[in-house]
Amino acid sequence: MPNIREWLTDQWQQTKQRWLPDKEDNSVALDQVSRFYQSDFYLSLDAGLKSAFYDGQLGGLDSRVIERKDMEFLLDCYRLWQSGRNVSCGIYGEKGTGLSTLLNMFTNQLKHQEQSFKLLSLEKRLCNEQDVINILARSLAIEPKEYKLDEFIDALNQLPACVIIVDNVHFLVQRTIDAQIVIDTLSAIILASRGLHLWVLAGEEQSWRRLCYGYQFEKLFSHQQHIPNFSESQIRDLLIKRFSYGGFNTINDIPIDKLADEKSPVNNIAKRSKGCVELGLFYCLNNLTYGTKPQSIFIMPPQEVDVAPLKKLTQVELFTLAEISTHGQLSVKEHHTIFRISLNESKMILEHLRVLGILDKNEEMSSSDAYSLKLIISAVVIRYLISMNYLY
Amino acid sequence: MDTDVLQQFIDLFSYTTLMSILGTLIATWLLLVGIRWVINTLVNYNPKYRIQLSQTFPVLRVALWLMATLYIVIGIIHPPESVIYASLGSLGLALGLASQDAIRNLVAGIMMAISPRFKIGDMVQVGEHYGEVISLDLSTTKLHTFDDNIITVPNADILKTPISNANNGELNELVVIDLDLPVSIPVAKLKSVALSAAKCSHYVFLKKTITATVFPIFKQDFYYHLTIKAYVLDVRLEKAMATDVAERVIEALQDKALLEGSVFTSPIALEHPLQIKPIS
Repeated sequence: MPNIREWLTDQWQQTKQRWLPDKEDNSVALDQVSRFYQSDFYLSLDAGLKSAFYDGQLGGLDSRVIERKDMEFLLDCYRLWQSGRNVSCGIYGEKGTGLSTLLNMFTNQLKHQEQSFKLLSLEKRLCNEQDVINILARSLAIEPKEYKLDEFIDALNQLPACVIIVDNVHFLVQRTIDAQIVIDTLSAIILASRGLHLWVLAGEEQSWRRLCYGYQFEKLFSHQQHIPNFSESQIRDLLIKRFSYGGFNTINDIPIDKLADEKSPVNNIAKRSKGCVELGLFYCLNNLTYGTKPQSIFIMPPQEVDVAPLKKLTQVELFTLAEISTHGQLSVKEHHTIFRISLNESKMILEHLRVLGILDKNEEMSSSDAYSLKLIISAVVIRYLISMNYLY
Repeated sequence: MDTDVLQQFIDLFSYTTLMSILGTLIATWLLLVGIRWVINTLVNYNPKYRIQLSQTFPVLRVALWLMATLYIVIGIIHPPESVIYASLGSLGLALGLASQDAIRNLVAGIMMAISPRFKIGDMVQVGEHYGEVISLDLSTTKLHTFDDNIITVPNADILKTPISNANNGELNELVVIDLDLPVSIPVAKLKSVALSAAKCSHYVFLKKTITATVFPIFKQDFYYHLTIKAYVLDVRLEKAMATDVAERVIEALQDKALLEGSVFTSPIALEHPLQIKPIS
């Protein structure tokens, strides 16, 4: 006679596993994601595979921007400006959507057309009127001296017509009493020279929104374009391209040229990546094993990222993440100014978030203590903050 | 009620009928517990829609209890017409006699569920109490005040009291911060500092407009009465935002060496002045 107790326990376990799966078995820890590229498993992978799946800046390999309308948008603005229209444009998108790549490709187009341009990538926060004038004067090769705003605008309007591209506008965002002066100065310069020069500004979506909500930044632009995240099919194609580049012919016994057509593991990964390429790359590498045949690999179904550590964060830590995602990065001093707490407390909060694997400490930047969201999990964190009403 | 009707009434409640009624009541209660659990889980996953999700429960509860009552009367007891009329008469009499408090509150609770004056999660002022609505029961409403007290207000009182609802179903709400400042500060600078200070606060919902107005007033001496109106990200952060913005304004004025004399701050959303801080 079967043991009813055992049978019931067994049935309950099966039902529980089906409807309420254990998170520990079906998710991957946040710190595991962020530290993956330092893990022994990653280091043990084939060099070709690692170079194909490196989560660095989107290079020529990921030339999705060519297929997209975004480039056409910039070229349309350029044509309108050339035809004498008073045009300035802004582009924004989530971190990792390829904004800088798009700008580089745009500058290549300008080079082909022998159009003079200046590409300015902001690298530190602008704190006052003189900061804005100085950085523009330096990048536009205007004679270096102490300019007042009107003098600078005059000097700028003496230059031959050119395209002025400003990247990383998140360095304009700040929660200080003097923030308005910075935006007002830049606005005055753009508006006064808009007829002569074509201004193109690019920034991360959350920074852009903050500038628009707080300072009506959108009024500076005649044209704005939101660059959406990668679609499922784009990520799928990109991953297939990377597998092909890595020299692999079959994945889970499916030939690489048929991966796009069938219900392949790559499709599954593309679906779970939620528009974030870096997460897709991580899912691929974290779940693969080498096949028995040459140039073949197996990919197991990917696990979801476990956001449980985010749920345990305090209110000030969640606000910190929200401010970092709008500022692009925050130093200890900036954090201390925004939250009006001691420098030590600020340092402790930022370090705690770094230890959890949510933040990166930017050692290479001029401001050595600047913390930013880890690119690989930034999309996950931003979505969580939006759902929790810390971002809007 | 004559003897026949009474006998018919007693006959209706057999052991099986009573068990069925009990079963229906337990099933309804369990269903409501389940619905509450689902709503709370959804709220935990999506706090942004806290108010919208929470407001569904009071309506569902009234609807389910009404349906259960109807099912018990029509589906289980199934009384003959004479008993229905006799019971309705008795019920009417009971309602008439006992409608002083409990029934009045219950009726008010049903009316509030049908035509709600506020929702769970709203910040309301009921009489002298100001707080977040945390529960809308059939007979009482519970408010959570900023002093961490739970105030229970009978629903009948709510129906006859003017209610001030600060957010009306939205997470953000307008917070008004009043400051009385010395007249030595230039008005334009004061307004500029006030607007910038409000934008600096991480509690402020920047999607909605921030305004600052200045009026001269006389309080033993002439003062500028500064009013900052800004929306807070979440109603629960109302006091934190009021304090933060007021302190930022004062600090900014001190940094710019614009403050001489006394400062009085009193966010009007609060019952008492936030602080009265003489500045030397």
